Amino acid sequence: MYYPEPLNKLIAALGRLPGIGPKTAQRLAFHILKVPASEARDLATAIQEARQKTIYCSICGNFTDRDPCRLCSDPERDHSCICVVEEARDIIALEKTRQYRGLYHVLQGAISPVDGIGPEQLRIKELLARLQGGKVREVILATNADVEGESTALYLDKLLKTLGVKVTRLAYGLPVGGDLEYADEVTLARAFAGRREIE
Amino acid sequence: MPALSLQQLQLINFRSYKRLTWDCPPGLNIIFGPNAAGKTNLLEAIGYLALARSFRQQQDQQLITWGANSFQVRGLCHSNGEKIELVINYQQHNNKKLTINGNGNRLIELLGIFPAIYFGPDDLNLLKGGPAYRRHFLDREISMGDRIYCRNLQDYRRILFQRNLLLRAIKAGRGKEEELEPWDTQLLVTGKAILEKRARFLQSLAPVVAATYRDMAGGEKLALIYRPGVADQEEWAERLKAGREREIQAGMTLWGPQRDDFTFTLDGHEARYFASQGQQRAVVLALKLAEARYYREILHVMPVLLLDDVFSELDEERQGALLELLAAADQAFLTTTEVGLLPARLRERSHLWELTRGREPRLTSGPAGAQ
Ligand SMILES: Nc1ncnc2c1ncn2[C@@H]1O[C@H](COP(=O)(O)OP(=O)(O)OP(=O)(O)O)[C@@H](O)[C@H]1O
Ligand SMILES: [Mg+2]
Ligand SMILES: [Zn+2]
Repeated sequence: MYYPEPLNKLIAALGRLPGIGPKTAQRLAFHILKVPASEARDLATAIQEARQKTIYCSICGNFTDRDPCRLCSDPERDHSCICVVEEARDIIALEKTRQYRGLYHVLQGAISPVDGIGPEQLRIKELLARLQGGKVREVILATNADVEGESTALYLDKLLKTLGVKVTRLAYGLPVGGDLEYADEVTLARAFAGRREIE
Repeated sequence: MPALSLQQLQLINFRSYKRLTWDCPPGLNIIFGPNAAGKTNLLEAIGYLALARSFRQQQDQQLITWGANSFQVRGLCHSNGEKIELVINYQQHNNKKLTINGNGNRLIELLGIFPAIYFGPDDLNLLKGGPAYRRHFLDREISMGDRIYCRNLQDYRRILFQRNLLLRAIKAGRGKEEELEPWDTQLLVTGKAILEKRARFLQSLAPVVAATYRDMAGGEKLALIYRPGVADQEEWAERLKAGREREIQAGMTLWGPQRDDFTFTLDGHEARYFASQGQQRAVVLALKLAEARYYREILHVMPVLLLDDVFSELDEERQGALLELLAAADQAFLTTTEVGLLPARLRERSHLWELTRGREPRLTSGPAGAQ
C-alpha cells in the first residue's frame, strides 16, 4: 500500500500484536489518526509507562509496580500456602473466585518439548527457594488442564514431595482442556474446594 | 429406538459442490449418475455431519472446492421428533466451527447427534490395507458413542508428539532422561484408557461379526482378533524403563495404542493372506453390518446408512443381507452408476435421484405406493 512512511510503521507495529491481522491493524491505525492528538498521546504514554513501571515480583513472578508485589507483602494473606500457576494472568482468574487467601507462584510457562521448554526454563528454582524457610505447609498446583500443564504438575509433585510439603492439584471437574483464563468462576471455585493430592 | 434422518443438506464450496440445497426424504434414497458426477462427494458431506471429519481419511483442506478458501456443511436433522440444525464451517488454515441450533459449540458436542455409517469400495482396505485403516475405523466407531474416548485420543496424540520430541532432544543432548517421567505417566494413564476401550469395543463387536458372517456366507468360521500395541498392559511400565535406550535411539515411542491392530481369520487362517476375493468382500461386509447392529443393540440408535456403489460387487445372498439391514434403517443413501444393476425390490421401495455434475439431485421417481 502507498501510505506515508510513519503510518506504515504504525500499521506494521500494531500488526505484530497477538490476535491482530493486517486488516485490524489498518483499522486501528486509522482510528488512532482520527482521534484528538491528546488521546493518541495518552495511549503512547500509557504503553511506555506500563512498560517502564511494570516489573515482575521478585518473589512470586506476578506483574507489579512495586517489589515485592501487593499480594506477597499483604500480612492478611495466608503465607503458608502457595498456589502455582503458569502465567501471571491466571492469578487474576483465580482471585476472582474469592476462594483463595494464600500466595501465588508464577512459573512463566509449562513444560513443552515442542517449545523447547523444560524444567530449567521455568521459575522452579525460585519456588524451591521459597519453600526453604519451612513456613509453607501446602503447595497447590494450578497449572492448566492440558497435557503440558499436567506434565508440569506431575514433575513438580514428585520434586516437592521429597521436601515433605503437602502437594495438591486443582480438581478440574470435566477437563476444560485448556487455559485457566477461560474457565469460568464457578468451575474454578469448585476446583479449589475439591483439590486433591496426586496419587 | 429414536428415529433419525436428514431432512435438508446445504453445502457451500464442498468438493464439486459450489452450492447445494437438497431436501431429502426419510427412507431409501438412490442417487445415480455417471462417474465423477459427485455421488461419493455427496455421501462424504452427509457423513461429515456425524463426526466433522471425512470418512475418506482426508484432511479438511482437501474438501474445499478448488479455488475457494472455506466450506460449509449444514444439515437439518430430525432426531427423535426433534429438529436439530447442524452447521460446520471450515476456514482454510483455521479451526472448524460448529453451531447447533444457532449456538456455537465445541466440536465434541457433535458426537452422537447424527451417527452415520459409510460403506464403500475403499473399505476393502479394512482387510487388505495397513493397520492405520483399522485404527481409523476403531477411533471413528468408538468416538461416535463415547466423548471421553475422543478426548483421550486428542490428549494421547499430543502426549506422543511431545514425548517423541523429548526423546529426540535427549538423543541430541538437549534434554535429561528424568524429564521423560511425567510424559511416561501420562502416556500410561491415557494409553491404557484407550487400549481398554478398544478391547471392550472389539470384544462386543467380534461375536456380532462372526454371527453376521455365518448367517450370510456360512461355511467357514470368522474370528476377529485384537492385536494391541502393548502385549501386556501390566508390563507396559516395565517395558518403558527397560526400553528407554532403544526409544531414545529411535526418537520414537515404541509401544502403545498407536501400534494397535486387529485381524480376521477364517477357520484360523489369516483372511488378508488366504481368503478369496469373494470371501474378503464378505468379511468386510460382515464387519459393516455388524457395526450397524452394534449401534442398534449397544448404543440404541439406528445410524443413517451411506452405501457407496457396493451392490454391484455382491452376489444375491449378500445383497439379501444388505437389504435386510436397509429395511431396518430410518434413512439410507445409496449410490450407483447404473440403476438397472440394483435389485428390483430395492428400486421399488426407493426415491430415485438423478445426479448431474454440479447440480442438485433431481427426483425421477418415488417409492411404489407413495405419492
Ligand atoms: N476439492 C475439490 N474441489 C472441486 N472438485 C473436486 C474436489 N475434490 C474432488 N472434486 C471433483 O469431484 C469429482 C469426483 O466426485 P465423486 O468422487 O463424488 O464422483 P462419483 O460420482 O462418486 O464418481 P464414481 O462413480 O466414479 O465413483 C472429481 O472428478 C473431482 O473433479
Ligand atoms: Mg464414487
Ligand atoms: Zn509477589
